[in-house]
Amino acid sequence: MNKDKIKVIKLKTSDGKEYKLGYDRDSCARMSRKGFKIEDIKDAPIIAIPKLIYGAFLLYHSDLSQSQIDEIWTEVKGKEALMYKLVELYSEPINSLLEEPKDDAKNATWEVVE
Amino acid sequence: MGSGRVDGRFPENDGGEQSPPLCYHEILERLCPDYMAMGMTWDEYWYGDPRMAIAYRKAYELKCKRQNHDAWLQGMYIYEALVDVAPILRAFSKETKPTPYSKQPYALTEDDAKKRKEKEEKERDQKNQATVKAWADRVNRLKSEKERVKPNGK
Repeated sequence: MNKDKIKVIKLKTSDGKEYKLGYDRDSCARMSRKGFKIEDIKDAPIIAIPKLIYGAFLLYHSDLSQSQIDEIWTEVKGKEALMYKLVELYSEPINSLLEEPKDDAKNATWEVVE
Repeated sequence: MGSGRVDGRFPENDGGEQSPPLCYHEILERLCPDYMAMGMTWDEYWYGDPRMAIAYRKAYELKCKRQNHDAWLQGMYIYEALVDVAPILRAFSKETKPTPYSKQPYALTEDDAKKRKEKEEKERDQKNQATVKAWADRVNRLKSEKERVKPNGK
């Protein structure tokens, strides 16, 4: 399967190595089967965040060990922004299945009323 | 997707109480056959670009619309054929021949309709021209015959 078009984050370490972080449905399902839940990022971040990061390496770098990934992660600057991006990428495989119509004039609207 | 009702996606227990929400992988596994029915392959679904599913879903919607239109169109042709043949099927009808069935299919696009109209107009013009030409030929022939007869008459 051609994975070229999957949205990824490119990560370059100080030693010049480049890593591609991303998720397809298979890696998302594998993470979910091992108990990862996206809600846990908020409820139990200490457990969930590392899982999200390891999962991001599953697609292109499944041969890396957890300690190697940890090493790469310690080098990363702007961890929070990257985390947000990873959450976004993780959600895409399922959002694309449940996406609401965009360009339909008959869309229902909603608003918050105080 | 498509014909599936929302409540079909969120099964309830026999007692009517709600099941716990589905996990990510359960939703993906549940929707996989739906997308495969839309023409997506196993590899495309599990290992391909996630956005491919959007295109497959839209393509499937278009396909359904087209199938619906095709069925409607076929119904129209059958209806027209019945109307054409109806006069000879009536009891005590003096008609012996059915109305001829349409020589060509309906024009589906405006462009087709325009081209067909232009073609019909052209054919009508050619027919009119031929009629006028035939009439002019006849007049000329009569005239020349008359002129040929005149000297002899003298």
